[in-house]
Amino acid sequence: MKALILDGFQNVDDSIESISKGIIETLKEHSWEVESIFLKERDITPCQGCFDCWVKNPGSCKTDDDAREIRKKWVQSDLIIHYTPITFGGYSSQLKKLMDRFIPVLLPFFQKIDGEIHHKFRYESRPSIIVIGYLNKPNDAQEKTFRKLVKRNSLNMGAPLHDVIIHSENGDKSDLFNQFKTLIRKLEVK
Amino acid sequence: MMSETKSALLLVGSPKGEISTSASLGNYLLQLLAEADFKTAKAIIHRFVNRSEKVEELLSMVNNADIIILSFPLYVDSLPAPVIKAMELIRDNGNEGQRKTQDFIAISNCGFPESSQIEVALEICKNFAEEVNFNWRGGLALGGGGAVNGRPIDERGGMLRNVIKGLEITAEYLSKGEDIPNKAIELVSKSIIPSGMYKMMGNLGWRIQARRYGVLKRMKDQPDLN
Repeated sequence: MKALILDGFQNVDDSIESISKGIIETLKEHSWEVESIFLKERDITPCQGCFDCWVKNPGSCKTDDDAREIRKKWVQSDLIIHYTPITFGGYSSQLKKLMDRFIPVLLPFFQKIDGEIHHKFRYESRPSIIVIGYLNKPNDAQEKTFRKLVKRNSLNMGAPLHDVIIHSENGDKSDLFNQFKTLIRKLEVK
Repeated sequence: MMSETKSALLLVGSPKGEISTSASLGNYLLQLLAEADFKTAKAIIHRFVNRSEKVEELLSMVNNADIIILSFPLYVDSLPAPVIKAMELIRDNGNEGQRKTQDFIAISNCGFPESSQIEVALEICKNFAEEVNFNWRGGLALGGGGAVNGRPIDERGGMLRNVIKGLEITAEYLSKGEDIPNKAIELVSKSIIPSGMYKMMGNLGWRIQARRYGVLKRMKDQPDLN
C-alpha cells in the first residue's frame, strides 16, 4: 500500500516536524510504502484555468513543473495525507496551489451524485484522503469550515474513504497519533 | 481613508483576469458603486501575489479601500491558491486597527449549476474577514457561471436579470454601509439554467471543444497510470 504525504507548511518548527515524523513512522510500522513531499521546496505554478487538460491534452497539464510528477504519484497512491495549517478554515496557499493542479484527474463530463452535479472521475481507482489540519489556537468556526471542505473535496475527487484530524498547537500529540492509527487500521480492513 | 469620497477596490481572483466571469460580476458592481460616487480601483490578484515588488502595491491598495470586493471562481471547493496567498499576505501585513473601518464582501461563481456548492468557499471568506478584522458584509454565490462566460453581464440578456437585480440591491446597501440583504443573496443564487439542461449543454460543449483540438476520442485518456 502506498501513501503520499503532501506537506503544505510555509515554516516548520519542532512541533510541526515531530507530527510529520510521527505520521511517517506510524505508516511504516503498518508496512506502508511512504513518500513525503514538502511542497514549499518544489516548483509548482498556479493553475491557469485554461482547461487544456480536458480538451487539448486530456489528463495532462500543459505546465511542465513538479505538479506533473506529484499528480502521477497521487493517482498511483492508495492514501493521500494532506498536512496543512488551517488557513481561514481552508488549506494553506502552498497546498492549495498543488490541489488546483489536480483537475486533470477528473473528466469534464458531469454526473449527478446525491442530487448535485459533479465531474466524472478519470480513473477507476482513487486514493483515500486523510487531512491533518493544524490550528495555532482553537477556532470552532474555522474547524467547522475545514471539516466541510474536506468532505466536499473527497466527494468531488471520488475518495473511497476520507477523514479529518485537527490538532491545536497545545494539543496532545498522542491523541493525534492514536486517531491516525485507528484510521490506518480502517483503511487496511477495507 | 479620511476623505469624504469613499473608495471601493475590486480584487479579481481568476487567472483569466479581465475576460473572466469573476471580472464580469465584479465590474458590474464596481460600476454601480462608481455611479454612487465611490472612487473605484481594481487589481487582478494573480498579477500581484507572486512578484515581491508588486505585493506592496497590492497591500497598499487594500489598505486604502473603504470597501473591498473579492470576486473569484470556485476552485476545488475553495478559492484559487493565489487568492488564498493574497489573504495570507493581508493577514501577515498587520494593520488591524484601520481594518475595523473597512468593509469586505465576496462574490463567487462556479461551473456547477448549484450555487450551494460555493457555501464553504464563502465561509472561508467570512473566516478571513473575522481574523483580519474586516467588517464582513456578506457573500454572493452564482452557480452556472458558464452562462456568463466572461462577458459583460448586462449584455447577456434576460437570463441574468436576477443576478443584475441582486447586484443592484447589493450596491445600494453597500453604499449605505449596510450588510448585503438576503434578498440580493437569493436573487444572485437563483438557478440560471435547470440542472438537467446545464449538464447536457456542458457535456456537449466540452465535446465540441475537444473535437476542435482533434482529441475527441482521447478525452478519457489515463496518462498517469504508467
